[in-house]
Amino acid sequence: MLASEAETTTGAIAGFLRERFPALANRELTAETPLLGSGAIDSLGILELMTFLADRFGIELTDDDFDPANFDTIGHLARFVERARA
Amino acid sequence: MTGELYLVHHLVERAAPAGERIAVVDRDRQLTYAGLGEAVRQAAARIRAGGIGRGDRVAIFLPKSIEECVAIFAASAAGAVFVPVNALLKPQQVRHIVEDCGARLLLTNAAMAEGLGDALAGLADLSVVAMDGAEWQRPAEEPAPASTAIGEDLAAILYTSGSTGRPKGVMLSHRNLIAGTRIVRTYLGITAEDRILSLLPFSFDYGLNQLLTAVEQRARIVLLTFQFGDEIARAIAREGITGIAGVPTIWAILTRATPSLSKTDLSTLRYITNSGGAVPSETVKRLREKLPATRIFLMYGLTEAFRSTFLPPEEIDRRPTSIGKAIPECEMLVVTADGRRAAPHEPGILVHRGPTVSLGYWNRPDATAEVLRPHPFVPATEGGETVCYSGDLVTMDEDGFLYFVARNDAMIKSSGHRISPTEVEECLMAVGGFAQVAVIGLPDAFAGQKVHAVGVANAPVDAPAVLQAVAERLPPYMVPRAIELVERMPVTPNGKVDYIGLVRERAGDGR
Repeated sequence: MLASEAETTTGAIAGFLRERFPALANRELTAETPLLGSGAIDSLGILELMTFLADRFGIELTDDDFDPANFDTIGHLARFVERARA
Repeated sequence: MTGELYLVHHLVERAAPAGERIAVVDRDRQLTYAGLGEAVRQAAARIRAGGIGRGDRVAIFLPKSIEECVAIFAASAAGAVFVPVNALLKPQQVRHIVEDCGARLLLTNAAMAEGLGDALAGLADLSVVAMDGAEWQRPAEEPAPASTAIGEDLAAILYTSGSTGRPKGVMLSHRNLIAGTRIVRTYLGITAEDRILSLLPFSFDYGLNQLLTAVEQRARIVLLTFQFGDEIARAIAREGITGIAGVPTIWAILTRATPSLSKTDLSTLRYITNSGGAVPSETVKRLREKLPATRIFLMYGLTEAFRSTFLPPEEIDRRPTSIGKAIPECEMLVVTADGRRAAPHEPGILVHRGPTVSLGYWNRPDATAEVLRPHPFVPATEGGETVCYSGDLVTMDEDGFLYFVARNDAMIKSSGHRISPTEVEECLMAVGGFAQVAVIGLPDAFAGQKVHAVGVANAPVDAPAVLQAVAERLPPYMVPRAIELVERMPVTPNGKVDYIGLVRERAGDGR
């Protein structure tokens, strides 16, 4: 995986989060930004994030590679997306 | 042990013969019926030892947990009124509830008490007690005397939002809650063999009812706080869940974002119920596909009357958009604006008659008078009783099935939560930059409605900064998705903000 790809994926995820959760719009969102502990994203938000990943990257979230730990940070999520697309 | 059943904690006392059966599962902890009975007696004794007695309000601010279940029944056993507070609420929202109901005791835990900071400062009559603290853990010296309350006494106050103002407390008597338990258990066919998954907060009458029906039947209730649908799927398989109550968002999560569901053994799942908004027909279709052997009950209710209607599962294909018919022991009337019984298919307000009609709003006689009114067609002199006007426009077909048309006011419903525009507007105004703000609900595929703010600025408005500040004061479901600035707020002919017009102009943008 090229670093730039992951950066693009991170950027796309961060862009979605800013758009969907205005409360995050002013925050600096980096690969290290925690997603689950932030308190800004509830279960509905996770549903929308997963729907976004399926629509934007065409990935099927199957049982074997699904692990809530992938949602710890934007960086983890971006790497998960890259792996799922590979 | 007596067989009496007119107070909420009688449900626990009557379950004593079930001794070693498991009552509550809370992650890796569980409590038997014997253990629940003992924990409730101990907690009631401590509540009484703190000087709390009949009619006093006991607020409960705890995560979904064994302690929360114990606190609910213990408050009843102490003769007090329990006031469950949603664990998602922010400190100032908690203060509003505690102050509004004049609670003398707040049962919480150390971590949540710390999270409240100084939000409860100045409430002189209030004691805050952590149930995980050393003082609470000490055995009480003497048992609580038997409650002298009767069924007509107040049992609970459930805070809920309307179209205006801060959340109001709906007063429910013991008889209301016992009737709701009996009625719902009857039509869902709940028995001692059921294992009920509790995802919804006990501050929501629908969630509370799961606890009460489970204990009434000596069934098992499995508590789960979740973020991912996969946690629900795992719980179903691990615990052999037979029944789930959910709101539309939960079904969207299960059918669209729960990859493991198709590999999960769902054969134990006997029924699911929905309330808190209509399930989109696409989601119903997916549920039918994924849960072919599970009975799906679409229901409708409002806290002010606890539960009103359900659609029998066998009708779901024929009438997928119906909210069904009256629950047992109750009658639904459809009443037009000019006070007539509506003709078939003619819209009217749904009016609820029956034993679950609440006692109104705590300390709000005017708001109560709008909702609790005399029977529309039978005068009191001829036996007409007090009924509940729902504020929901519905129609009835020739076969007596009801259909939701619209809310008759500006109340927003998102992911099963009732949201008052006022509460969000007050928060936006406090953050600043606005001359005027109106908050409305716009259609949303997953949430039913999404919160949208329309504002007139009187200073430069940095929308992201404003929303960030709002997110610190309100839980995620109340934070607007967007702030839209306008030059002038549309008003109705009598000078009020035209909420209906604001929604109408924008509803086409909804997903």
